[in-house]
Formats: sequence, structure tokens, C-alpha cells
Amino acid sequence: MTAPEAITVEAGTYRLEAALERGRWALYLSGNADLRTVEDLNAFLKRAHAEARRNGSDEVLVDISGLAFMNSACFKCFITWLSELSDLPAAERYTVRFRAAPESYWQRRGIAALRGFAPDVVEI
Amino acid sequence: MPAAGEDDCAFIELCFKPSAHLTSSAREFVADFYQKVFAERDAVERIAIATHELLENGAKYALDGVTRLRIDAVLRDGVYLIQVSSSNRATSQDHDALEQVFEEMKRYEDVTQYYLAQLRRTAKQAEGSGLGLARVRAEADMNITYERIGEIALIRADARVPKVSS
Repeated sequence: MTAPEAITVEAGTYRLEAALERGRWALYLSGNADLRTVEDLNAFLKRAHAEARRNGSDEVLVDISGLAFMNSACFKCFITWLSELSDLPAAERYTVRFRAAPESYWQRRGIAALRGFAPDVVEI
Repeated sequence: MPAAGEDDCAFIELCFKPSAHLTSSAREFVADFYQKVFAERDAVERIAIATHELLENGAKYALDGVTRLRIDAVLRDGVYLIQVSSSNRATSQDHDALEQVFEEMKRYEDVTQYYLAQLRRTAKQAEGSGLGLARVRAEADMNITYERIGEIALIRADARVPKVSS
């Protein structure tokens, strides 16, 4: 089996990185996730999802602690991903573990909302 | 100067065409400004959420692309009364769409259930999220209202934040 690729998408105001770390996919988002980010974020999450499925991952880590802000359109990208993941048969699902900056109000509330939306696949 | 009965006030008013770049810049400016007014970071982030989402909402609905944003923070009896409001000219169709959004919002007593319903609905939509106003209500914990004044759509988001001794 070929090793999964690392994925990096970078524009002036944001950076999206995915890499295999100790056997699990880790996604790192940093900068500002606003309307300029939506298209890249959608494609990035789709690709990360495909890689996680291809490799039979049990868990994907999503670290948003480096984000200054994420708008609702970018949250929708996560909703789309989590919805697709939740619709898979249980045996094919993996856990999405979110990591936030503990002092960030919007990150705590946003992740809590995502967990409320997809409690079977989201861990905090 | 604070009005009678007010211990302090700090307001910002901006009027511009909210591009993605300017919306983020405005949010950063607002957050930086109010960080110096409030000791509590959570209050600043709530204002930042409302600022960003109302500006993006205004960009979507503004007839001439221009949105007026105003943020008021008035200290009264140890509590900050915060209001983030946006106003813009809108078409009749867009007014009707906004009225429907707010009518639906009122039907839910439980804010969490309302937000979950919006998240589930948006999961099935190919385009757009329609989550911005719901997010102001549910994540920024603000009471949000809509008023039509002629062709102007006025959206207000209100919160009360106890003053924290610094």
C-alpha cells in the first residue's frame, strides 16, 4: 500500500495542512477561514476524507487552534464532511477529534455545535 | 459622552461594501477595539462573531452592496448592554426571505434545537449555508431581531455582559 500523501493548501490568509502522524491523519487549519477559504476548504476536507477511507483510519484529528476565526460558510464545509461520514455504515466510519485553543470562545462553541450535529463521529 | 444613567459607552459605526477581505479586517478591528474596552475575552469574541456574520449577511442582501454596521456597548449598573446591528437596502424578495428566517427562529423556544435544525438543513443544501444568523443566536448567544423600515433591513443582535473587574 502506498503511503498517503501530505496535503498543503496555502493562500495569503489561510493554511490547510494534512499529514499522517503516528498512524492517524492530522489536519491543521490556521489563519482566517472566511469566504475566500470555502472552496479550498471543501476540496481539502473531501480529499482528507478520501485518504482516511483509503487507509482505513480509525481517527482523524482536526486542529483548529491556529485559526483566528472561521465563518459559517466554512463551518458548513465541516457539516458536509461530517454528514457524509455519518451516512457511512458504522464499520466504515472513523472518529473526527477536534482540538481547539482552550481560551477561544468561538472555537469551543463551534466545536460543541459540530459535536451536537454528529455525536456518533465527533470527539472533543 | 455617556447619556444620563450610563456609566460608560463605546460605539463604532462603519459603512462600506463588505468584501471578504474587508469583512475580516472589520472583525479584527472591532475585536481589537473591544478587547481594550472589556476585560472578558468571551464577550469580545461574541461581538466578533456577530460582526462577521452580520456583515456577510449584509453583503448577500444589500441592494447597492453597502452595509452599515454599528456596535454599541453601554455600561449601566455594572452590566454592558451590547448591540451589534447591520442595516442595508434590500429588495422586497430579500425582505420576505429575511422575514421567513426570523419567523422560523421564533418558532423554536430552545436555541440549541433551532441551531441543530439549521445545521441538519444546511447539510442537505448544495449551495450556501444560511447559518450566519443562526450562529449569532446560538453561538454568540445573542438575541437577534429583524425590522423592515421602508426598503431598509435592520438586524440587531443584543447581549448583556456583566462587567468584570480588571
